[in-house]
Amino acid sequence: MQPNIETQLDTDPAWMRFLAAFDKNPTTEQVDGRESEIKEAIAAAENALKGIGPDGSKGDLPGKLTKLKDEFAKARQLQSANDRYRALGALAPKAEDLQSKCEKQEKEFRDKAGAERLAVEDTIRKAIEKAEAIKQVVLEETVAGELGKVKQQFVDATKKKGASDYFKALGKIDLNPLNDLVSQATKSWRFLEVGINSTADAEQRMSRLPDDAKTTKEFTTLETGLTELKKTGATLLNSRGDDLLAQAKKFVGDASKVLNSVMDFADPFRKEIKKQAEEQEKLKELTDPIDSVRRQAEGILASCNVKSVEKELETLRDAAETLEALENDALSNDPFDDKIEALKAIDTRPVVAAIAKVQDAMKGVPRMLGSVAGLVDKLKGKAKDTCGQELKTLTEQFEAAAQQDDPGALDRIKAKLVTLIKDIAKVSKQDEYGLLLEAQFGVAVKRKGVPFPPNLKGTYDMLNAVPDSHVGQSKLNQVVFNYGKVVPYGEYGDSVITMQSKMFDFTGLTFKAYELKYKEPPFVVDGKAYKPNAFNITMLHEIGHSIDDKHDIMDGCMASAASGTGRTKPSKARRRHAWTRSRRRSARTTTRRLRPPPPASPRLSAARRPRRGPTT
Amino acid sequence: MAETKYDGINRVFGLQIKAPTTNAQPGNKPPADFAKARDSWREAIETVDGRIEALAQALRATRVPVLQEIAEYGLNAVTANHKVPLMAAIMSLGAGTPEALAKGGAKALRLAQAFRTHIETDERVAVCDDNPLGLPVSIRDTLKPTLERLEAVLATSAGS
Repeated sequence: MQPNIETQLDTDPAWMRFLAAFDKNPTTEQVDGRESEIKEAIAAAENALKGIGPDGSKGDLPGKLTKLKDEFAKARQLQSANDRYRALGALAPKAEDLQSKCEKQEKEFRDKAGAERLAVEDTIRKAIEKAEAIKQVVLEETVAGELGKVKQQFVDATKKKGASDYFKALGKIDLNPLNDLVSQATKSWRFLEVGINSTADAEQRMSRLPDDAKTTKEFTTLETGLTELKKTGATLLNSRGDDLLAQAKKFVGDASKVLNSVMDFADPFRKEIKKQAEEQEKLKELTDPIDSVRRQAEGILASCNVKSVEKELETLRDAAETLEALENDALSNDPFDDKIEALKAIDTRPVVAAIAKVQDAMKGVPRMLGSVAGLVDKLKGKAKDTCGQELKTLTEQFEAAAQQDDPGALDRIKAKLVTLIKDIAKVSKQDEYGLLLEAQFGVAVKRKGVPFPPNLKGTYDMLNAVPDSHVGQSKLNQVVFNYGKVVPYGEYGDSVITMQSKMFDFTGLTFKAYELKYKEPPFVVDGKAYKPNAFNITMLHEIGHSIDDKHDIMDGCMASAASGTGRTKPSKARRRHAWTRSRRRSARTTTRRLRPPPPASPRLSAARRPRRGPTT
Repeated sequence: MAETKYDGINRVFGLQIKAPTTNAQPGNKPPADFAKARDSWREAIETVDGRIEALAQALRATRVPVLQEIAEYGLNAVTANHKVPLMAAIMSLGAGTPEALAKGGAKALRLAQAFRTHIETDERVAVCDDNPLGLPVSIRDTLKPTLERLEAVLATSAGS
């Protein structure tokens, strides 16, 4: 490797221009990597300075370290990744140099001090560390007073001018009171921990007892004993007394007794407890998906109060209440099998559909307000003020619109948010559509080796073309443009859409590409010819996969009698496995085409209907 | 009309020999300008291709991953999106007969103009020409005159 070139890449304007022309600006990982290197060097320098006891022996190194930290903070604040990378690149050798100077100084100090004096220092440091570790649990006040005293004496010693005075001051520190307290607190904590665990175990065993056991007198007695035990534990955790150790020991004994009594009492109910646990597990399997939908609905109902969406919210409220009632009815059934059957019969789809209606009516505005706030937060200086003011205005407009029945208001605010995102892209020198994809739909863009630009506008247009309830969802997080395969195609898996192309610029995947691949004429619908754009229809198809992934739509279709597959409905686990296989197969073969299979529309001219692709 | 060699023979020997007919009528003759412009363009693009390859090799030799990536994927795109379509269009013009030029000349002209605009404005072309390794690439200086010449010939032929 030519040693100079790699360093020149970040500093020589000619190289920087060369890299920028090929869109080779530093990646986030590179910037982060450089930041970490400097952080590590600063930490090492700080550590080395700590090893030099008296401030007087540190020379000008603390000042230099402070200056470096300031410069580092400034470099990290720079807006563009390129500037940040370059500034950090200039700082990296300084940080390395300072680290090595601090370490050298520390070594010299320690060599000169001698082992005996250093051992004293080490003992004090360790005593402080041990006491501070105890502080992290619950007995901090037991040692706090003495710890504070020792720390202050240590700090005073570091202010001495020379090493000799420093070590002399260290030698005067009496560690015995602190060590005694630490020892007592450590032992007490060990006992307390055992007692607390026994209490928690007893409580858990009590909760698992069958209902008929809970009505007995013995149960009430055990419950009272447990309550007392919990009170004692809480008191001891806040105790500061000299007899803490003795009390902790007694607490462990009492907790063991209660736990043993609970175990004896629970023994005859073991079979019943096991059966109940199994039933609870079965119920949970069925109630979890219902509760998840209900929670989502409740969240929306609690946070959304937009007047123009009232109708949709009302529908959602009704659907959610019906679902809750159905679930409660189902759970009130007896015997257990009736509960299960009733839960299985519950259909959550009306609530899912009602949620989608609200999301569509909200036009994604709340989501965008949140993500734009994140973007504004990353801006600096005047740009931050201007964009922040615009965001504030739009937030106020949204709040005002929520109080009025103005159906067009959300569209107008959305359009302004899009403009604001474009403005942010401009001031932060980011790609407009890349930022829109991230802020509007939560979709990150990754480019893997492609020598041509990814088709971000096409991606944005297609995501914009589907309902709001289908985007900004957890199963579509990233679009990758990959220079991997010669023949262009799209694939979906693990919440990521990958568009492959080696031969063509993605923006060139138009009707021509469609024609080349399929040798098909345009679609004719009601006498009008439509020319499918190869990129757009592939992207839409892959977005469709993500929606399927989110809602398991195709699973349902395959299992239904009308699907014609003749398959019996498999279990949830099986369906997921089958789906995963189907998805993998899809990624390898089925979606390797420029277009998804066209819908068999009755209005589509039979003579001009494109040939159907393999079933996904 | 000027006397041909057959007119003289017929007159002297009392014969009536007809001059042989030929397809090489004045209107079908390939214009020499096109051939020259085409050849000079081909020579120029081959020169540029060779220099870009030399630059790619030098970038690979640095063993710096980002530069190797540019050598592998980036440099091809500097001219490829314009070069290949223009080469195809020129090939379709064959020897450049007036018929061929009338049919495909306008398209080739558009492609040549687009290519020239590209090399005049594209930042990647500029940084290759001013590459920090100091290698002579000269995409602009080499291609621009030949493209201009090609455009001039094609403009005349396509317009005639």
